[in-house]
Amino acid sequence: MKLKWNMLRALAALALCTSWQAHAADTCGLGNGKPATGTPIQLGAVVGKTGPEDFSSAARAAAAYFKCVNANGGINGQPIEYTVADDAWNPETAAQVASKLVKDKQVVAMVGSTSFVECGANTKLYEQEGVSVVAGTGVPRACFFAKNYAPFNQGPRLSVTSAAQYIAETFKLKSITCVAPGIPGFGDWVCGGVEAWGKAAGVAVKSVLFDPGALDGNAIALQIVGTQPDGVVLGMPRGMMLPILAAAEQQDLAKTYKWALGTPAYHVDMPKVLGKYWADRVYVHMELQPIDNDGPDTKNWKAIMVKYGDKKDPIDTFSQAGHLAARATTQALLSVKGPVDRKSASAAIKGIKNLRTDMLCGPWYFGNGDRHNANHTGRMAVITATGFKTITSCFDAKDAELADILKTEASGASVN
Amino acid sequence: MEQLLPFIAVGLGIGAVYALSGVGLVALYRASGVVNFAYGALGGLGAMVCWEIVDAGYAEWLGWLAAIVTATLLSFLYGRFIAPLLTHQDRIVRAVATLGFALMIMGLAQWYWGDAPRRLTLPTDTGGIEFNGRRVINYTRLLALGVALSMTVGMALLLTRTRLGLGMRALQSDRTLSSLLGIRIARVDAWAWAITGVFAGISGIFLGNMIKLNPAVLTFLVIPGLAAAIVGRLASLWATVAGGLVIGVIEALAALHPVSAKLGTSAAFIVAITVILWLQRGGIGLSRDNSHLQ
Repeated sequence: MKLKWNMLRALAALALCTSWQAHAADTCGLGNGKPATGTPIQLGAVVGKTGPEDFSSAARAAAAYFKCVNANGGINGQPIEYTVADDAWNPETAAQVASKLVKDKQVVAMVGSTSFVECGANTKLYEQEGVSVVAGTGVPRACFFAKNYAPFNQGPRLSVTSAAQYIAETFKLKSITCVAPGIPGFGDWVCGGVEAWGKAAGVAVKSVLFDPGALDGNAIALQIVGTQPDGVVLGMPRGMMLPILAAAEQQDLAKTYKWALGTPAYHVDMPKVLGKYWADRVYVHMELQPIDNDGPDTKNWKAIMVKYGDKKDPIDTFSQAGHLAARATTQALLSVKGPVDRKSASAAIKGIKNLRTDMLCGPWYFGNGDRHNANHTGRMAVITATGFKTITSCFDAKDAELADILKTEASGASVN
Repeated sequence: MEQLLPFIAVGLGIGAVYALSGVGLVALYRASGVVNFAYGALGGLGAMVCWEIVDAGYAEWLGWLAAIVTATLLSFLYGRFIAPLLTHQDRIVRAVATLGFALMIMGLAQWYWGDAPRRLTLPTDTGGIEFNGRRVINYTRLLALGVALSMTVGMALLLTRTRLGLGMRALQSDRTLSSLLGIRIARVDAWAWAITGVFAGISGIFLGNMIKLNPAVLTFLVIPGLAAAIVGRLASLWATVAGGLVIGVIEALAALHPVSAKLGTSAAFIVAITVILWLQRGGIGLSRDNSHLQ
């Protein structure tokens, strides 16, 4: 009986992998073209939309995917009702909206969440209430150290450490300055990763943590000059990077230092916004695969965004992550036998293993671990006059904090 | 000293724009007695309009012109049609009304342009003066310094050599008496609002370029301008210029140490409070016109 069950699981996993590789057009869910009409299945997300920066890209991509699913048979006939709540970058608001979704709306799972504050405020609630979160993008440390919260991205710490690794190894740099907003559980954690890597690699790393509420690009650029580095890495949202890069341009700092940016800079508009000065002078880490790759899953993501998304929806790494989160959740819910409730949904989501797609460098999994950071392999691109040029193959972030994750993966628990 | 040079140069550049903002605020206050909290929002809106025009592919000079015209026109319209309705209100009420105006402009701009990252570049950004192979100051900051000083000279000449300036100075001394002497108060006021709009438009372009092109950020950049104006006791143009430059340099020098760096943005408050306390030492008020305090 046990053997039969294992065989069935293996076949299901194979079917899942095959179906993930097969999408080239706007295909999703059951793909039968019939609108779902049954009792809606409640899903939710908490995003930081209003505030210093709009972090709703992943949830927008997830919403587009769920629209596609609802137009194609839903979850075995049941449509998905997807509610996205804005935490306005406020932990109290994050707790309130999450409580509303979990306790009042009775969501069966959370999908595509992306926030600076919600992980610290809500991961305990999700664990207590048995809600699994397939996050779009995790931002602070708390998003990667929770039992029920699994993001599709690598996280800013790994992204910025990878960026530092790349410029240090490629240009033989001896010192690097890491710049990040001094938000507790974010800036210190992000630059702490670069510092730990630098210590092991023999690269002197200094950190500049600034007050995000009083962002002054000139002062930060001057602080960078004060640390006298060979290279600079920025770990922060795109909107915070720009004033610093503009001030650095005005002081002609690209001539003196090598610059690398975390994943938020990987956005189609960024090369145009930065302008000619930065062309071929600034490197960007990609937590997921390039948005212009030819893979069928990437093409499917774009096709769905065109057909079911809004024209204003960003096409960036966060959107890729939100799409993947929605798709993984849909596949998991479709595999539920019987009613889809919180318990069955959570079991199916936690059962996601060895998920392979051309949008990621390595396999993704949820599993039953105490924390989740399945994605830790990415690539580098350089900003050119017209866009991005991918310049490396996939490489692993060298972060000692990943030891427990790598141990789990080495045991084979993430793929079998 | 060589290490301090880039910090001082950067500080002078941004300080020049604070000075320009301060002079624009003082010009209006001297004529109409209104502290214009909408100054930053007007400049911010101008900068966003400039970006929109340049992004649509039009010539940059057209964008700069549009920024100044937008800020001037809105400021003039407020001064011509809204401000006269509040003439007999307390000065605090008139100042708070401009705050409402600022929030309206900021809200509309945020709604229309959102938070998407944008940059307002100027042709002068890419060149500058180098020292020991490192750029100490770029031409945009030098231009800001030149524009701030020239516009202050222009404002001083307007106040002392023209009939409009005479009217503005008369209103500063006594509005009722000026009215009895035949000075057309509404007209002089409207001109003062238009002039402050020109200053706001130009400041907005520079601040959008040097700090961040975002309506909310630019709206609140009225604060260092106000601090500079307070250094000038809301009366002296040249003391205002000095105040703006000092605030800019202190802000930049604060970046030298991680602890002081966290206080850099408080430089405007620190300078303003220090000056107020120093001026109060002998019981002297903010300006000669203390009627609002009575």
